[in-house]
Amino acid sequence: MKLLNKTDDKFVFELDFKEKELLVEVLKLYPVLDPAYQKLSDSLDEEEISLSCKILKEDLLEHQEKNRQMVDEIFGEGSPFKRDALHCNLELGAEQLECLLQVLNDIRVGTWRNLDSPGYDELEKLRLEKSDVVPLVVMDVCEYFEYHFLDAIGL
Amino acid sequence: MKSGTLPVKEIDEKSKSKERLEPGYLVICWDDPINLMSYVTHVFQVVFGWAHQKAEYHMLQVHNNGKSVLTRESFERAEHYVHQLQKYGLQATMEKED
Repeated sequence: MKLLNKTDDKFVFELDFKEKELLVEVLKLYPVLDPAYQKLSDSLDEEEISLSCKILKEDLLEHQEKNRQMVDEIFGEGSPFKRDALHCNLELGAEQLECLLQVLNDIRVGTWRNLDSPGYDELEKLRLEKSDVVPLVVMDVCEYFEYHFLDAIGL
Repeated sequence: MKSGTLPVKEIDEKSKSKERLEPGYLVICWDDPINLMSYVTHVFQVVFGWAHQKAEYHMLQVHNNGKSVLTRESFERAEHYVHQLQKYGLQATMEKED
């Protein structure tokens, strides 16, 4: 995957077909992160923030729904992929790129969370054990695309 | 109850409301082994409108110290920022300043 062209509000990436397939497949997993996982505060009185916590959960669910709709729009009928024999170009607007970044990160963080939030060492141990590689591969695939998208916006 | 005095509960509510308007709430971002450093920097830039250098400074604080106090705000604004950061999948909370 590489960035072919970039303007203020448009990014064009070149992907090979395997990359395209991986991206489309991994995005189907969204959303993974359970909004209930997020907490508003460690120290504030629970009663005082109960309404805020409820709003936070609703807000996160609504946000995931909006992102899901945008992903469906991006990869729906008017597909963003333009192909030749070996590659396909992925054209994304700035807002779409931002959405994909959030979505990929949700899948990574949610998958990590579903593994019981392993620390750095535990993650390495899981890689060596190779007992359940699917979540690790999902996280790696998301990371791969996240890096490319972040690189495209100059980070 | 003496006339002219507010019930205790009402006084509590009033002082709480006043407290909430004051910038005594810290927005804190916590370290985790999953969010990419460049992603965290990007999120700080988007949510707070910070320049890259400031966003990166706070990201490194999170990474090296386990947390970074990002801003000190009223209750509602702190709540707003925590919601925004969590939408991006970061581990953020708001805490009352001691």
